[in-house]
Amino acid sequence: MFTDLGHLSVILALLACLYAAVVSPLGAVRNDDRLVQSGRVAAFMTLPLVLIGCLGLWYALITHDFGVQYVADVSSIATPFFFRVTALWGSQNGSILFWCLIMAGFVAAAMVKDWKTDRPLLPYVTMTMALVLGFFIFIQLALTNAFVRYDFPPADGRGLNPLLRHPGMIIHPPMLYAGYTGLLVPFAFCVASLITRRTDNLWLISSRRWTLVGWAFLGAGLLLGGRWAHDVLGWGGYWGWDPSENKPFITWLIATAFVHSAMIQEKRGMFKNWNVFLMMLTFASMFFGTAFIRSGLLTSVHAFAASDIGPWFMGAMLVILIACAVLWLTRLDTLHSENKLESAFSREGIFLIQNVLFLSTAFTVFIGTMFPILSEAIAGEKITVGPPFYDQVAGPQMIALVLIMGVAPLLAWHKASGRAVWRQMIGSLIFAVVVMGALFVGGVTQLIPLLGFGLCAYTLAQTVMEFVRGARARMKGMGENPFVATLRLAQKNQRRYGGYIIHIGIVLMAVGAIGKGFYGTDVIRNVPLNESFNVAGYEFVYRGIRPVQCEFDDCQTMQGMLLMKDAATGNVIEGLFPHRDFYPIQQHTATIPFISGTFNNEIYVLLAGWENNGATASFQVYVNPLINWIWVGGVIVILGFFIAFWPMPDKAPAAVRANARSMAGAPAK
Amino acid sequence: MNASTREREKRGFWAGLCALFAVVLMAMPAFAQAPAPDDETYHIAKKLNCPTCAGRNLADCPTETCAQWKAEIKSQLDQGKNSQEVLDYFEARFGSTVLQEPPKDGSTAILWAAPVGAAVVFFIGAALVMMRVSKRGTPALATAIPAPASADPFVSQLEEDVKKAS
Repeated sequence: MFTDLGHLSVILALLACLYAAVVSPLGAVRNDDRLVQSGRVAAFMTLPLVLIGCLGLWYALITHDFGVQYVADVSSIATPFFFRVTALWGSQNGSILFWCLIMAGFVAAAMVKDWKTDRPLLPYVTMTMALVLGFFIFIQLALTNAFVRYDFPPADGRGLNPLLRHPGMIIHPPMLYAGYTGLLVPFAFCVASLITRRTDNLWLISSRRWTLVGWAFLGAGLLLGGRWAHDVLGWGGYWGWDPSENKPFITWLIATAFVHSAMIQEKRGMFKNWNVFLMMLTFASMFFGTAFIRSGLLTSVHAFAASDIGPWFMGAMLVILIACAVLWLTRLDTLHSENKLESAFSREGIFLIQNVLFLSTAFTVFIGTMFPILSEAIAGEKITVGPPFYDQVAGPQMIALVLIMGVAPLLAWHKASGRAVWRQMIGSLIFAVVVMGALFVGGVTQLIPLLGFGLCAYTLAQTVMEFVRGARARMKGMGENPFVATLRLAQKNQRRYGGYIIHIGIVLMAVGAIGKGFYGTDVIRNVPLNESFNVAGYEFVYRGIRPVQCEFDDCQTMQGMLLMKDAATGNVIEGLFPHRDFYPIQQHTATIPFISGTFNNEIYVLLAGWENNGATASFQVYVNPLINWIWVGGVIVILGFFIAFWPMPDKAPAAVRANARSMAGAPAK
Repeated sequence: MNASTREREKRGFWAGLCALFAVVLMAMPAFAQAPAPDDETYHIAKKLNCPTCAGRNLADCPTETCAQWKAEIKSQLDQGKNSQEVLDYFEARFGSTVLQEPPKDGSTAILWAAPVGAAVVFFIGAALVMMRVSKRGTPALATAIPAPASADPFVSQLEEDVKKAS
């Protein structure tokens, strides 16, 4: 009953979207504020309406209402309460509803924001967001309805996909959804500014924080996805260049380019065209990625089952592309640069180069992901593109981006002086050379990783020096101690120093990726009972297998037992218990690793199989040097985002800004 | 006081440098290791795609079919083939779809060339944009208005009004 009420509520949400999409622009054309406000309220109302829909489905999941097809598909009587809640996004139909909820959340947040300065954009922002949200709600209702009931309810359901029973999966999908849907807001601002021909910095200023939110959620979602793959998929790695990772990564790359190039327009009034283009591309890639993963066109580890939503998404994609192109081309005359580029050797210049690199990296990932489909369509043979392609082609471009990260902050706006740049660079360069020397002596003799680590050391030192230089200036000028000076420095210019902290996080992630990529090894060893094998300075003694209680009711677990010793001294370090979980209902085996070793040298052990009741067993052992720096770097990136984003207004400038705002809002159009 | 602050700061800098260095040194044991002798079958399996697990390589996939494929690799190795010959065998039998790394030949020319081509085109595009923007624009305004000011809505409004008036 309550579930059907939810269904009805989602239908009402669709109507609210349609109403908002029609009434808002009408209000703008007729200059009738009541209509605009009415559309705004309707768009806001989609949040409570979709929320009631989700509550309805949650109610069915929690009360084991297997009459609802979706509930029977993703849960069973044995499914614990916690996973009955997260099962809302455990499969296609429910996850599209959940997607709508998060998108409605962003729409509602944009509607309640303070519209004092950017009032002229409101009706068209409402319209754009209502149209996109309406499309997703339509898909939910017409093609992937999660509320459909069986005529004859089954006694029990199938249970949640075993792969999704990991804490990472509780937050990973919502994060990615929030990242994707959050980017709708800046896109809506961009469209509205083009429609109203207000192509000054208004839309950029209004939307840059929203872009940052979407960007951060997307990044956090990718990071958690990596952690999930590492813990559950038994890959030994963190990133598999899987289509469903690649698509959000492409969007993240383009959004990163936008976040940077928006600065040029804010500071110098240049590259307006470029920013509009990047924003449109960000949104298009988000939409395209969703369409592809959702429609099952790409096979991947966890793409959703093949379904008939593909044509609808492709149709909508076409409409979006045409609308964007028309809008952009008819407004080209308003997108002139206000300023002159004085030199390519300047912050503006290097930002453009950086943007180009981000786009070409995104394109590389795109073509790699699409090539299996393209080759099948053109040549009739489906060619698989595995990790080696991305490592060889996208890898060098990402390394170049790390270099730019270490150089760009040194270049001044307008025109940089070569001598000044060199003076600031030299210290970090020396540091990098020293680090490379130490590493070489320590055994890193391969050229590429050595250069890679050197580059990371340089960029790290350079970024830290940005703080040191700024803090030193404050210490001199204000007589503050180093700690206070650094804190104040970041507080005074949150975006800039938050950005640098993000850079530091990215460099640490690069260190982890190089370590794992070039020095990671993995072996498989077949070993009889009570005998041992050596890997990476450790001795592993096989002590048998035993069945143990599985974590969930619908699975059986076989646990392998290894004793890990220091190979040199023979001292016992710890017992390792990798296990395999077999799920009879889903016919699925999960290989769950046991992780040991040191922080800088992770040992990741999997039970690969056994014979004769465990008389022999085989184990896969991954040695993952420096992989933990990827997680550390990721957390630092998120921290940097909060520093850049967190509203900590300085008292006096806030008053000035408020004053300016009331004046700017006053003049007529 | 000033001198002591500078002294302290200098000390702080060196302490930081040492800490960074310590971190780098901690990473050492990770590399001191020579790679352990490898199981050949396993490493060939790593280079092949699994026919049943979408998006995963043969070595990581636990299905029955994959076990058969791995057995096939093993028996071929036992017959004295080297790893490249085994890979060639699988490619001849199932097509280049089975390879993790796509072959570099006519069928994949687009794949390998497109990213490079795109990068070149993008860079030329960027160079053109730079040239255009360095010619265009309103130099008078550029010098008249301090750069960061346009970030402020008030100032940008003012800018517009000035433009209209002039």
